[in-house]
Amino acid sequence: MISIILSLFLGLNYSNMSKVDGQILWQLRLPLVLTACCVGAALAVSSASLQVMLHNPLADPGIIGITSGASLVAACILLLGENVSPTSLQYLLPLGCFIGALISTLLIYAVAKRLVANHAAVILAGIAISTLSGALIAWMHFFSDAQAMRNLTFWLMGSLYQADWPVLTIAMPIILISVGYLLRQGQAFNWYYFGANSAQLAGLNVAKFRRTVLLACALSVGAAVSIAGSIAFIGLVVPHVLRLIFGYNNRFILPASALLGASLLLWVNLLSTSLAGISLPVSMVTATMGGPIFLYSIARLSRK
Amino acid sequence: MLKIEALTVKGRLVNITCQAQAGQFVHVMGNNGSGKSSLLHAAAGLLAGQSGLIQLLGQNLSQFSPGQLAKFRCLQEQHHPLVFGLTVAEALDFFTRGQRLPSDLVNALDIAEFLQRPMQSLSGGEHKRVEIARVLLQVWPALQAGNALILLDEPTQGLDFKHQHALFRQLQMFAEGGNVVIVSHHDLNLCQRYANVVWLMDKGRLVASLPALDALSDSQLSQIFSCPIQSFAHAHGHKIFQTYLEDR
Repeated sequence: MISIILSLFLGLNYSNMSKVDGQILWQLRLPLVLTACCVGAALAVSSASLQVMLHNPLADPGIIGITSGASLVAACILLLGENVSPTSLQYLLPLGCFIGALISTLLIYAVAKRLVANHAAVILAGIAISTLSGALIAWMHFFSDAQAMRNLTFWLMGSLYQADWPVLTIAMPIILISVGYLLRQGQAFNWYYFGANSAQLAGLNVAKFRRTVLLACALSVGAAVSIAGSIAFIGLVVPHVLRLIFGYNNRFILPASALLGASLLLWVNLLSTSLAGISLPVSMVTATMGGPIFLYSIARLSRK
Repeated sequence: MLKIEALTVKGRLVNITCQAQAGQFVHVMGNNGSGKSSLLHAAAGLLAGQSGLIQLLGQNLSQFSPGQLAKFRCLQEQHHPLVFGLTVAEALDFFTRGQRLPSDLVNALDIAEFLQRPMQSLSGGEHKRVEIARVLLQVWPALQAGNALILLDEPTQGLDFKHQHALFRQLQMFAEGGNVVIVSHHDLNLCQRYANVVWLMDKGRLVASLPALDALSDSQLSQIFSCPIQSFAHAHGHKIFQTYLEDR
């Protein structure tokens, strides 16, 4: 709540708001707050879900290549679709990101299913997907003009300032529905800690559950990427820290991840804007924070 | 309670026909790869691609939803990799369906002292006892009412002698309460001591269904288990089985 209020009203004269202040609040601050909340919640909840589904505590949409898949399709649309109208783009971008996210989610799931309990292989497969996506984006950079290249670079670094109302009206309901679905699956995810067979024995329709969870994760990550670009490590850090402190009950961890993911992204943006005085690419800040935590997590896992 | 007719699963089970009545403690014995685990998985509804008939409570297994089955049928599997650092209490709590952890179960499996420890820090035997408690919790109300089907795949693996007997005494009590308990394992003496039905498996086939192991001669048992087996009369009246290696 504090971060939302600060993000909305910091620097504005809220007791006697001018027309310009109102415009700033309505056209800039509110979309920014909604983007941060939706993207933070989407990344954290889908990450908390994928970690259980893939039996890998290090799973994060960025690390296992889902974000890269979405980014690749988005880059194709941004660079190749110069003549596409902005109205079409606001529909095309979430759809493309969803398709990219879904393809990479299915790829990584197929790898994880074959290599149960081999954490490193799933991460390596994710790195392979990210590297391939990165290479293809680099090829597109090579053949694009300077303006398109600048747009793409800024977008790939992740920014909360790209979203406006038309984009949000498409992406926000997708995130709300898919995250809402994942939040209701706490008990099923608790059973899934013990493997697909145990979950089925406990009463879960595993085939249906897998399909819908992977779809919901791909939808929420795809929509998040379409409005804010590629934002690293939020998904890894948030559920990891929550499970470390509060235990493993997903009926608590999933909603708590949504809240913490949303407020963490708001605080990151708020602090980077206040301290640096300019709007830093948010992924730069989250990656700086998340990298050491990721290394610590790997070290902790390898000690077990 | 459980009726299996002409069950065949390609590459695993061949034309199995058997049944288990309420109150029976069935022991499934046989060499590695003889089909014991496959039979338990098929009875639990986890094997696809099967032909034949499996009925629970007079109804085809495929007619039950996963939720309906979960209320009265449980299966403890052999291998259970757990990559997250859950404590024992958390792991059990996820399967209590809102009930309190039954102290009878905690005492019977002797797990009270490590409830707060992470699952990953447990020894093999301790982990096995927690796993058994976890699957029994899933059907606890049905178990108390005496209409549960308990399937345990090698539950004694990793358990010391004391806990092997404690577990089998408890399972015997569950069976006496009207439940069907079916366990697979490799200990002829535990089988002789506790079973009231023995299913002998060989190469995917059910080769015998007996009231006790001593219904077979030593040479028949030796042939089934591909190992020399000799039985002795114990002072308490039942037989003791011994396997030995022939000198080369």
